[in-house]
Order: sequence, then C-alpha cells, then structure tokens
Amino acid sequence: MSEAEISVATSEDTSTAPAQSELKLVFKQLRKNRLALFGVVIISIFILMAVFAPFVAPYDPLETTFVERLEEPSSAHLLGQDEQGRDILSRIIHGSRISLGIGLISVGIGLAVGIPLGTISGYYGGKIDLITQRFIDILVSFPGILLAIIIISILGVGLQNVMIAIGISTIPIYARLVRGSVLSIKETDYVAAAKALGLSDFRIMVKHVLPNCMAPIIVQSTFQIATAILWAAGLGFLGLGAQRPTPEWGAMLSQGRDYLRIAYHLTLFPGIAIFLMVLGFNLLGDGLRDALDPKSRKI
Amino acid sequence: MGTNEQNNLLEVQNLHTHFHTDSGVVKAVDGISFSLQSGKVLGIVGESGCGKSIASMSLMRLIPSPPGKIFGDNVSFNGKNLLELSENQMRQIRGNEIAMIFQEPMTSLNPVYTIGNQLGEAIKLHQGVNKQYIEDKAIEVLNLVGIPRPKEILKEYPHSLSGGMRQRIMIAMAVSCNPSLLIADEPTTALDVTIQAQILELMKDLIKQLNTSIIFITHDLGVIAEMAEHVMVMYAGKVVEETDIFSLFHSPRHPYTIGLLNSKPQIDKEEDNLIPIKGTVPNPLNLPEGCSFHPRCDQVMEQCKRQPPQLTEISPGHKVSCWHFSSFTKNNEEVEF
Repeated sequence: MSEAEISVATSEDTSTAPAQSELKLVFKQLRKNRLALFGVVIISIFILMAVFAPFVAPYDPLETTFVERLEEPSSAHLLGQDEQGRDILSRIIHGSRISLGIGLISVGIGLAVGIPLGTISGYYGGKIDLITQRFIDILVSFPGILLAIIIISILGVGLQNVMIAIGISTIPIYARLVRGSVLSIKETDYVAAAKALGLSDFRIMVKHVLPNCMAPIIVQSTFQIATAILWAAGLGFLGLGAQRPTPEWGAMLSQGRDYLRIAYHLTLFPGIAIFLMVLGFNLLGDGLRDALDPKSRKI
Repeated sequence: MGTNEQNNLLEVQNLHTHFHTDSGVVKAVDGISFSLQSGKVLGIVGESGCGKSIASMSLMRLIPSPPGKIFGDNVSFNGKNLLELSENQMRQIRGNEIAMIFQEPMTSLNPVYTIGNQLGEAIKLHQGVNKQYIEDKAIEVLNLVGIPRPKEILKEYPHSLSGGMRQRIMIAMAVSCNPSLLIADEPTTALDVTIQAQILELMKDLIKQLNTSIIFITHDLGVIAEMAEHVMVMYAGKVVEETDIFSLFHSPRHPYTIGLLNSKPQIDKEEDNLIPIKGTVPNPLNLPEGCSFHPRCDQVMEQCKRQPPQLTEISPGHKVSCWHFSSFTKNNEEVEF
C-alpha cells in the first residue's frame, strides 16, 4: 500500500528527486547481506521451478509404471522413482507449486483477517479492543498445529482446507503484532496532525498508521510462509492434507515412510526440498528484519 | 475584549475538559472563557501542564474520549457551536476552518510519504481532487511560507529536511485551506533561536496576508510579546489573568503573572540570580482548596485558602482572578473579610 502511494506521488520525473526512498534503502541493505541473498536465490529457484514446472519437469509427476518401481537415482531419473514408478524429481518440481501456494495463500488469509482485526483493535481501543482480544485469546489457547487439525476435522481433509486451517491459526499472530505497532503509532505526532487536518479514522488507519507498521508484518510474513510450508508438510504427513496422488512434499514423505528401509530416496529428497524452501524464507526473513530496522543498518 | 461582540470569530464560554482516570478526575481545563476577533492574535501562556494545549485540543475536539470529556456552555465558532456538531461536521471544520500547528516539526510529518503527498492530502480533502489544482496550490502555499525550490521539495521525504523547513511545511499545510482560525501550539519551542525568529516573522506576515486569527500557545514570554495582542495567563486549568500585551508586561496584577515575569532573564538588567516561583505546579488530581495558586503565592491571605476567586474585570479589558482584586468590585457579596 505504501509503495503504491509513494510511486503515485513521485511518478512524474523522479530523476530529479535526490531523496532516497525507504524501499530502495532496504534493497540496498539486503544486497549487502550474503545470507539473505542466498535465501533470495533459493526462493527464486523454487519460484521459477513452480512457474515453469511443466517445462522443467522431465516426466509427468502422476505417470505410473509397474516395471520400474523404487528405482534408485540414475541418469534417467535423477532422484529415482517411487513405489509406483513415478519420477521423484518431477514430483518435487510440481510439489513446489503446491508448497509455495500453501505458504502464500495461508499467509494471505492470516494477513487479510489479522491486519484489519489488529488495526481496529489497537486504534479504537476500549470495548472493541477487549472483544477482539478475547477472540484472539481463544484462538491462541490451542497450540497452533492442534487448532489447524481441529479446523480440518471440521472442514474435511484436503489441500484447500489445509490452507484455510493454517491461515486461521496464524490470525492471532498478525492481529497481536499489528495491534502492538498500531498502539505505538497512533500516539505519534503525525497521526495527531492528520486528525487535526480533518482526516477520517479510516483514512488515518489505512494511510498513516498501517504503512508505518509494515516492517514487522513483512518480516513475520516471510517466517510465517516457512512455518506454513512446514505445517502443511506435517499435516500432509498425517494424511490430513493433500491426498494421493498429489505430489505434495509432506504427503510424499508420509508415503515414502513405508519404504524407508529399502528406498531412502523416497523420503530424503522431498525432505531436502522442504528444508531448502524453509531455509530460504527464514534467511530472507532474517535479512529483511535487519534491513528494515534502521538501527541495525550497516552504512 | 467586550467592545465588538458581533465580530467575534470565536467565543468560548465556560469550557471544561476533564479526564476521568482510575485515580480520580483530572480537571485539565476548568471553566475557561475567552473570545477572539477575526484577524487578531490571542496568546495563551502558562507553565507546562497548566492546560493550555488541552484547551486548544478541546476546541478542535481532538481529546480522546474516554477518558477525556469536553463540556461547557458554548464554544461558538463562526456562529456554530462546536460542542454540538457531529463528528462528521467537525471533520469538515478541522484543517479547513480551524487548522493547527504542532510543537514538534521533526515528528509531525509522516516519514513514509513525500511532502507533496502530505500537503496534497490536506488540499484534496477540503478543496477538491483536481490533480493539477492540488499541485499548483501546494506550490503556492510553499512559496507563501518561503520554501525555496517548492517543486522539488514536493518530491522530498521529511527526513531530508531540517526542523525549520519542516515547521514551514507544517505551517503551509495549516494555511493551505485558508482557515479562519489557526491554533499554534508552541510552534517555535523545538527550534533554535535564529529559526525561531524566522518562523515568528513568517507567521506575522501570514496574519497580515491571510487575515487569519491565531491562538498562539507558548510558555515563552518573549515570543508572546512578539506575537500576541491579547494574552491569557493560565494556571492549573484556569485563566488567572487576561489582558492586552502592554498591561501584561507593564502592570501585571496576578501574583503568578508577576512571578512568571520575574523568573525571566532580562537583557538590560544585571542580575545574579533569577527569581523562580517557589514550589511546583500542583498535582492536577489533587488541587489545593481555594485559589489553586495559594501554596506558591507570596501574598497569600486566609481567604485564598478557603474559596476560589472569580475572574474579575479590574480595568477595561484587564481581568484578574485573585482575591486581592476581587474585593475591589462593587457587587461581590461572597467576600467576607
């Protein structure tokens, strides 16, 4: 939102403006951080894999064969074949679509509900705050993954419901985070000045309060994408998520478990894929946290 | 100021602002009355915590409620009673008819937007959405407040401007909609002395050019001498003395005003020590009985400890709230010495 506003304001010949925008500064900081850059590279590879999956994958991820089952990695099948002869590399490549989707959509749900809830609760305070905070307390009183399992048991098993369940269980995280930031920002002089200009509460919240609490939200979101992918894999492993033969990484782990002693590659490679994607998002999150915090900036 | 009643832009009668806290009621503004004619400057002086800022925020109805509660007989602005307007009607007045300049220019601008965006916001809100008009108007007001290269400044972010520049921009925002009343809440306190003089000069220019009335809040008597024609001295939420600027300096009556003037260094006198007012501002939760200044007053009488004095006119346009002068009035039956 803030980016859009800034670009609108400076759309006409920005070349003369010597001022360096906050966004550029953050990118500059991020570039200096090698680990964060490594995270960006990992995520970019996964995103490219996900976008071009049908072109990159050497085989159809669902194509089965009865002749070559549980084959170890070879030049024809780089990461081997699973118990039904499907190419594991192709399944991992297609699985990156699902995992990224789960990460983004569940975080999207959490953000879409958590941000307004936290903003309104923090900005207005009083009874509104009391009610929303009690609602949040109820959500928090269940351990996260347990809450997700409860929601899935209500909604039914399936990939879509996994996203919704994880999304709902992350609402409290965002609501609390945003509320905290709003509480401090609403006391600032520029909010008082905006009120004195006659701006409506809604506009003050959207234009002046929220953009100033974006930094912690962005950082939290990157970590949360990683967590969501892990949770989805966990739920997939428990059989609550994607169903056969969907190439979801967690489900692949769960199915490969039966063959652990005779075919290590069924579980090892999806495991590495999960590990790398989570690592990528965590490294990016760490880097963003440092880049967005003016105090920890290296000049 | 009672001579020209019909020309009063603002007329405040018996305004109260109370905060209801867990430990009791804080009477931050406790029954103040004043009026202001168009194109005039009213100064409000007093120590920190005497209620001068709260009084101005109350006029804008910007006191968070709860815990704040604003009430009074009448706050008539341009014929409208501000206390009776709905929140929506009040928003039409804020920024448009009554604008405000704050104390801290360094933090009064939102760091994530350009100057153009924030200045444009005020203009857009009250004057229409034509993009070209907004830009022209923004450049016009920046010129008015003496900002060099206004076109480029519009694209700058607040952090790249100095405090004095930012205060000029705050003033530009405030005057962008030609308000008939400008409330300046210690606009020069956070600036260094040379910039202070420039900003005061600028504000004086604007008064002449735009015919805006100003309520000028400060604790700096030098600044008030520079700016205001009429002055109100506040203490513990009440007006203790109200007079024109010359009487304030030449014949102050209230012991508090005299104390304030004594505690100010003077360039033409060689003094080893300043004379402070002894004691501190009383706890607003627990104001002393009677006149709230009596524990610090060097002319305190028995009467002062028992009953609060009323604001009384002792000579035309000069009002004092002190038992030493209340006894002079003819029809004050409460006085029993």
